Amino acid sequence: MKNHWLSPFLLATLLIAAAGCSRKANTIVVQLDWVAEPEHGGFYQALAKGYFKAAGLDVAIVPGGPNGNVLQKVASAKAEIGQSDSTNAILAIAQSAPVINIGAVFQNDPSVLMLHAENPITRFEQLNGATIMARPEWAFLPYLRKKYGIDFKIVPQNFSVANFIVDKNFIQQGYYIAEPYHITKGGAREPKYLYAWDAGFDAYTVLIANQPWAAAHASQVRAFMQAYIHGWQDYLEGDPTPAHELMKKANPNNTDEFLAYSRAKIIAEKLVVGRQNGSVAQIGRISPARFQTQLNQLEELGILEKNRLKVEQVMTTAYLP
Amino acid sequence: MKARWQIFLLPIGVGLTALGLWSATCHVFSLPIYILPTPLDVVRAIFSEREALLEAGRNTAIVTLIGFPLAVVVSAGLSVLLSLSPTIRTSVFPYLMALQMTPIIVVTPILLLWFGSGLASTVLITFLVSFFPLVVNTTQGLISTDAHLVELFRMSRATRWQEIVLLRVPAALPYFFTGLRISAILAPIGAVVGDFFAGSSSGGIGGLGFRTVIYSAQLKTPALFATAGVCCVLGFALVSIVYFLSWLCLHQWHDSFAQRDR
Repeated sequence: MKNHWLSPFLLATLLIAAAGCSRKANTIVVQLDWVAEPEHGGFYQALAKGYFKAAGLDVAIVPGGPNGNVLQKVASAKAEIGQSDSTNAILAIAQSAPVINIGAVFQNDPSVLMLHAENPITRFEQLNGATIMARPEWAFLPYLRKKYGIDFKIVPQNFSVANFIVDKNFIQQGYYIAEPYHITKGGAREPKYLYAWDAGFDAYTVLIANQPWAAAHASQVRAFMQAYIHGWQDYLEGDPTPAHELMKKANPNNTDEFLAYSRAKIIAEKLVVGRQNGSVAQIGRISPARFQTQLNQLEELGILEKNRLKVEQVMTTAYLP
Repeated sequence: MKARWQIFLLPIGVGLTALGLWSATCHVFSLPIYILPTPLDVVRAIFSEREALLEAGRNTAIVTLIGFPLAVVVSAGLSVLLSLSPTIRTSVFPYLMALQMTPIIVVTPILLLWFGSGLASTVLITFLVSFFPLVVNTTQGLISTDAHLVELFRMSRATRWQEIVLLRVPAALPYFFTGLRISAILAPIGAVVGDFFAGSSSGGIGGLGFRTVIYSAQLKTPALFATAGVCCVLGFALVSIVYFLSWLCLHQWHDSFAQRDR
C-alpha cells in the first residue's frame, strides 16, 4: 500500500504525545507560589537532605512567580501539590476545583499592609479613601471594607517595591518576611505594618493537593508530609545551607544575605511553629476550627455562597503525622 | 443584492451552530466549569455579576470615550503637519512606526510608574493605542490626493490653506475613516489594558481589565467569559458609531458606498 497521506500527522501526534508523557509516573510535582525563597524552606531542605528520597518519593519542585497559577495547575493535575493561601484555596474549591488543603506552611499568612514609618496611618479605619496596591483578589480587602465600613482604591500588585520606595504615602500588600529587605536595600526605612490577623482575618499559608490524586496515593502523601515537616524543622533549627544552595540555583537573584534575612524573620515571627503557643509539634498542622471561621467570614462577606462548603470539603488532616 | 432577511439570519444561524458546538464540547468531554464553562454558565455569570459588569463596562467606556476622541483630534492635527512637509515626514515617520510597534503591555507599567495610576494614565494608554493607526492612515490620505486635482487647484491660484481644506482633507476622508475603524477596535483594548494595571484607582469598581484580574485569580471562568462578552459589546458599539459617521460623510460620493448596478 502506498504511503497514506495521514501517516506523517499520526507520527507527529504520537511524538508530541510521547514528549508530553516524559514525566515519570511516580514523580510528585510541587508547584511553588513564588520564586524559590525561604518560605519554601521545608521543601528545599527535605529535597537537599534526601528526606523525600528516603521516603521513596521522587519530588520535583517547580518555582512560580508573579502569576504562578498554583491553583489552576494543581486543579488540572499539572502539579500534584502546590503552595497557596487558604482563602484562595477555599474559593477555588467553591468553583469546583478538585483541590484540598492538606497541611500548613505558615500558621499565619504573612501578607500584611506595608506603610512608610512616617505614614500617619496607624489603624485600619484610617485607610478610608486611601489607595492600596494589593492582589485584587485578596479577600482581606472586602473584609476590611465590611468590618470598618471604609472604602479604598486598589491598584493591582505589580510585585515591585519601586512605587513604595518612591512615594512616602504608598501602601502596599507584601510578605513582611521578604519585601522589607528589598525596600531597605532600595534606600527607604524599614516599613511599618498593619497585620491582617489584628483585624481578625487569620489565614494559613497552605499546601494544597489535587484531591483525586491524593485520595489514590494516600500513603505517598503521608510520607511526603512527614518528610516536609522534618525538612522545615531541620531548616529552622539546623543548618539551612543545603536548602539555600538549591534556592540560589533555582533563583540566581537570591543572595546569602537575603536568604538569611528572610529565614531569620520567619524564625523570629514564629510563622511556622505558631505565633501563640507555638511548638515544633505544630509544624504543618491545620485546624478545622480556623477553617470554619474562614468559611463563615467569606460567607458573611458574600464572596462565598452560604452553606456552599463544609469544612471537610476544604481541608483534611488525614495526611498529617 | 442579498435579500434583507439573509443579512440577519445567516450570522444568527452560524451563531446558534457555534453555541450548539460549544455546549456539545462541554458535555462530550466533561470539561470542568473553570476550564470551559457552558453557554448557560456564562449567562448565569452575566446575571449574577451584572452590577459589577455594568459598572466596570461604564468605567471602561468612559476611559475609551475620553482617550479615543483625544487621539482623533491630536492625530488629525499631526497628520496635517506631516502632510505639509516631506522632510518632517521622512524624519518622524520611522519613530511613529516604532512607537506603534511597541507593545502596550510593556509601556503601561512604565507609564504608571511615571504618572501614577489614576484616570489620566488609563486615558493616556487608550490614547497611545488609538493614536498611531489614525496618524499613519490620515497622513497617507492627505498625501495621496489625485495629482491632477492638485494641479487644478494650483492653476486656479488656490492658497495652500484652501488646497488643504477644500481638496486634501475631503479626499483623505476615506483613508481617515479606515484609520478610525482600526482605532475604534483598538481603543477599548487600550482602556482594558490600562485598568488591568491601574486597578480601581480611577474610582469605584474599576474597569473591565480590573474585573479580569479578579475573576481570573478567583478561578471564576464563567465571569471571565462574561467580561470578554462585555468588551465585545463595547467594541461593537464604538465601531458602529464609526461606521455610521463613515456612512454620513462618504455615502454621497465615495465608491465604497455605491450600489452595484444590477
